[in-house]
Amino acid sequence: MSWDLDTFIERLYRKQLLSEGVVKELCEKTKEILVREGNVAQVSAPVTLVGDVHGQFYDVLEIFKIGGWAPFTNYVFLGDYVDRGYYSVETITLLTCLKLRWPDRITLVRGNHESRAVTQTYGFYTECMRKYGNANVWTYFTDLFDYLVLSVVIDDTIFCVHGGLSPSIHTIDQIRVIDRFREIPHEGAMADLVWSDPISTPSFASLGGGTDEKGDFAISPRGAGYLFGKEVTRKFLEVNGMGHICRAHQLCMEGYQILFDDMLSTVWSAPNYCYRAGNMASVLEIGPELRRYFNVFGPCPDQDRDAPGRDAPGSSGDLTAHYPETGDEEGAGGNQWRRKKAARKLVPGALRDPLEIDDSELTAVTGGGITKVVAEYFL
Amino acid sequence: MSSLWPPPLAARSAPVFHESGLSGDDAVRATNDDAAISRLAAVNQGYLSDPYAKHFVRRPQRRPPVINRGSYTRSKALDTLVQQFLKSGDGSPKTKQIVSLGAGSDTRWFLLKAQDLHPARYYEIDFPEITGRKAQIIKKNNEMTELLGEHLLTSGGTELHSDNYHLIPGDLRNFSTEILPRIASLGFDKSLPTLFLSECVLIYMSPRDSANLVQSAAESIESGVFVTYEQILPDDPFGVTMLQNLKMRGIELLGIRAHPSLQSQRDRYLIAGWDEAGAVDMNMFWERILDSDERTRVSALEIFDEVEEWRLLSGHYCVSWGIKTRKGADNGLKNVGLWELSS
Repeated sequence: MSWDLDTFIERLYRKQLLSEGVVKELCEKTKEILVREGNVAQVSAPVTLVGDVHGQFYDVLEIFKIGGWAPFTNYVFLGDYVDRGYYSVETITLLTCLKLRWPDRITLVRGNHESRAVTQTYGFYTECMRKYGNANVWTYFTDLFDYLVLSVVIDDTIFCVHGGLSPSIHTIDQIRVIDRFREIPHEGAMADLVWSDPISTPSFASLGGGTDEKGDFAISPRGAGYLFGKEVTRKFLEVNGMGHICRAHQLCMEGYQILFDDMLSTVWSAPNYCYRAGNMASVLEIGPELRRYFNVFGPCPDQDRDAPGRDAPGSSGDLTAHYPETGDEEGAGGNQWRRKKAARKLVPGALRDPLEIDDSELTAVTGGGITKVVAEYFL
Repeated sequence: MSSLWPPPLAARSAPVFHESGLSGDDAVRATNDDAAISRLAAVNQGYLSDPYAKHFVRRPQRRPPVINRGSYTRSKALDTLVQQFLKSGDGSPKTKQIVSLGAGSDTRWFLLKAQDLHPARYYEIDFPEITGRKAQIIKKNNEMTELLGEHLLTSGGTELHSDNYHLIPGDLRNFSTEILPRIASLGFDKSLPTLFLSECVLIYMSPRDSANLVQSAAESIESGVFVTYEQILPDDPFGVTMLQNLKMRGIELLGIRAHPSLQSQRDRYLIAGWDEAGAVDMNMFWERILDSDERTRVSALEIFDEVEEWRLLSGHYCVSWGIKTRKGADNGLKNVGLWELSS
């Protein structure tokens, strides 16, 4: 493949993998951009925050349909791009391309799954082996993960991180001096930022094992990071002159959760997580004057059999045709996305009409068979 | 212009869900394979100890940590109840009986026998397709036939009989007309305390069939325990999704609406001739009943980053039990049950 980022992005939107060689160069070039970013990236509103997506590629497309396509919408992704879903490779490759293509419009924060150890347990490593036949792509991406920023501050007001707070971090300046270019350690500030969770139970006594002298941090059931409470959150915001913390990391059945009198919120962007949880998802849209709106959406319509006469995604040279009309809300919580049947005219010089590309071509590139999804239970 | 042109999309809008092409009894039988694979995955990761499990799985697979933990919890909860039962009364397993309904690839008898903790009689009942395959596998493995001792294969290889272990083909929907007479002819002694075990079995039967079974079981003994492990809570988003996902695999949880809660699980025994009953969900078992040293050991086996998902999943499974005590005698069965540890 000759190097053409736009072509790569266009292919990835159609869920076509890039070659190993291209992935290698993609990661190298993206590291060059990320290395210049500090541990705390500064971003301005308007911007949309995206929580965990965990390889749910079709739902990532849903996010773009709802939130707006890059680069027309600025995005901050809060980590956990891979593992658990069936399309981690496509997902992380797409997001990396978008970052490289529009570095000022896309910010990628590191999650606890952007780690060599975790991706060997939770699916990304296995998926790379299956789709590429070797572990090279896994190596390229896990090396890239070492470069992802640790946090974001939006207009000096909203602090964003994947997990949460740390007993070792009182000021944002302390985050700035961490050496982040490494595998996530088992403990310490960097581990805490990606692993911690807020806790909303009134008393820590029932949990046992407090660590901080004020008893505001408790041992986390995840085995890494800490649980932190309202007082810790308030103190952090005060000391750092911030107004709100936004993070991801925890499944929210309604797609988001607001805690601690709106000092902290969680955004979760993987609907029907693991094809099993039955949850809604959301993205947090931050508008002018830092107004916040949780845009909630449900899982992609499933069991989509290509039947004759069914509405197919249209393509059109008319830009406005791509901004979707959101469909009806289904009672069961799905967001039935319906596309306008757009005229199939192409922009001169544009790429091939995607409707010409049929499934057999898709499967050939993705290496044998449509991926079959099985939600696991105890039977 | 093309670089700004919003993109054409993947032709399909969603991943294709696995359709097994199975339905009815075939789909129910297939759940045994799934359970066997999950159990072996947990064994291989160090959660459980079971040298016989591998014989029942052709192609081992890994399972995610949340599934391993669930397989462990399922096994541990049931083992706890079985142990309590075997130790109750006079404290000896030799004065007890166990009837394992829809036993599938269960290795429980072999594990008990290997420690000389097996009961006087152990009956396993399942579809002939399942018992035939199990008998074949047992015959092929010395470590299992040694535990059996002298044994007999009958009915075209679908039955296996030894001194105190009986593998019997049958249809649980005909429990009182077919199964009970059969085990009676094989030494079933109604005066011995008896444990009936239903591990994801009753849930696949119609509520009427399962209610009849639970009632007939009570009537067939003087004292004993009935233990069930199965799904609950069909109506929340997780439950709705679970039923949809299983339906795509041809699996229907016919019984779930009859006993969708812990309370209704308890009631199913109380209205069917059992004297006392209890139920806990697997999340409760993990958090509050399981010994804390064990919980620590198990938590350390794998990176576990699925706390919310674990709570959701384990909250949708329960163990419930009914106890029948002999009139005028309390043979210690009242203590059988999963009780919270007072810390």
